[in-house]
Amino acid sequence: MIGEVLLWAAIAIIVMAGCYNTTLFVLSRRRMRRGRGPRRPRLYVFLLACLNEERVLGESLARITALPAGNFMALVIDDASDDGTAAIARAAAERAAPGKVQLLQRHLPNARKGKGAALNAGIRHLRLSGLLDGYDPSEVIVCVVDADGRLDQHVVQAVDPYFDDPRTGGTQIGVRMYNRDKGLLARLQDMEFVIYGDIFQSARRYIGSVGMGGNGQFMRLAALDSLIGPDGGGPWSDSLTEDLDLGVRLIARGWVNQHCTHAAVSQQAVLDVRRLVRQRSRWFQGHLQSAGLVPLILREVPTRAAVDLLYHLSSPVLILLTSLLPLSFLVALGGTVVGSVEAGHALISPWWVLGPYVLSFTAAYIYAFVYSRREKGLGLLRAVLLSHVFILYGYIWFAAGWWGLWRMLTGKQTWLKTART
Amino acid sequence: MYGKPVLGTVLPMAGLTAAPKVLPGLPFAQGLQEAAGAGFLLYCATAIAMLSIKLWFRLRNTGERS
Repeated sequence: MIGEVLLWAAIAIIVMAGCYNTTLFVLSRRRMRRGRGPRRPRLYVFLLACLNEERVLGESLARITALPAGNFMALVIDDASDDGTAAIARAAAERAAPGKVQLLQRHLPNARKGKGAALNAGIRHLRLSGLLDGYDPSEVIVCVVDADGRLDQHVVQAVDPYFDDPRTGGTQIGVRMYNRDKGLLARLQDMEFVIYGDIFQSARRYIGSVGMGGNGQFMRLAALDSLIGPDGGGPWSDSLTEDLDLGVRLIARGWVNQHCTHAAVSQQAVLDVRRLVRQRSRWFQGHLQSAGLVPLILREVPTRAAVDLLYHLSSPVLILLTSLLPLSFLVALGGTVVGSVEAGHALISPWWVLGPYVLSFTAAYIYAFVYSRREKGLGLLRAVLLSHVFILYGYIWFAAGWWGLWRMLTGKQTWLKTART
Repeated sequence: MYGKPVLGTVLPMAGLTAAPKVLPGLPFAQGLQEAAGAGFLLYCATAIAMLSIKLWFRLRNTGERS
């Protein structure tokens, strides 16, 4: 009896996840009406925290300085790089209009303390250097861009209306892979980010739980100021997923996070499975660290958003639990094949194939629909085939999850960043 | 988390409950599934506790405002 209850409880994980995903897909299809306030001229500051980014920084800065926006600047925070990162930033500053590219060089032993610490140093520098003198923090928009981030040229025009609503604290734009044509793994990462943005983030606009993604993340300076604690530390935490952490704390402070589907930042996809699993392990470990946000969510976040954020923060637990199920399937399948050989006839019924297919791959058709709308040239049929591979690609999270958990249990906090190619 | 889609895509083992137990590996496979189920029940219990706390905070805040 107990065994049967446990077996059905395991299936309930899939049912719950399926219901959640379907609900968010339906919500994501609804049109969003934005609150509006008076239009005001704003200063946009792009922060690029860089550690050995000479391979990709030049292109990113070239795209930022070419933005058709009036009032903006880029601040490169060189986190004690060993390579030519600072030289590339200086060269870009010379090529651009005066003041458009600024460089902050950090030095050891104070540097290399993580992305959050580098970004905090950037905000401090902006204030101490006088670059923000005369600006109202409510009309200064800080954008975090990865060093390999290539912003759409219309990004400021797309994001700016969201900040007309004075309640908007942050706006996350879509994320794409600019090298998505470089193989299946890159294509699947592109699909992953499109699905995340166009289904989950879009739906969360209604729930009030939009997350920040660390790249293409626009925030009102006044909102960041509201996160600074009595100790005077910066708005970013030292979490491995400082973006997730910051997004939740913005909501807890009463700000509204938005997701902009009309513009994107393109970044470099990881082209090696091992590196990809390592990157995801870091995210997973950071996600586990974010469990510390639960008391804040319970106290400060509105109920509907709180329920979704609690589910979101607990998803690592669900990933670890569900990872046991495909393993169980494979063991049972292997046993059944051996048993069939011994018995001299097939013990596998068609339901063994059909049932798992329906439960596992139905989502592929939804993902194909969403992705084909972004990638018009792909075609729906190819998108459907790709989505089936994408379902299997999702299993990477199982390996990443157990690795991340192991690192957390063994007290390992340091991570090498994902290398550029 | 970007891996959210994976949660709806695992291969469930509903068929296992109807399979003969003499097959090699089947007790282990069922053990894995039961472990996942036990973990999920614990997860649900924790979730209920959290939602109760949230509800308590909400009622308390409503009371303070009125």
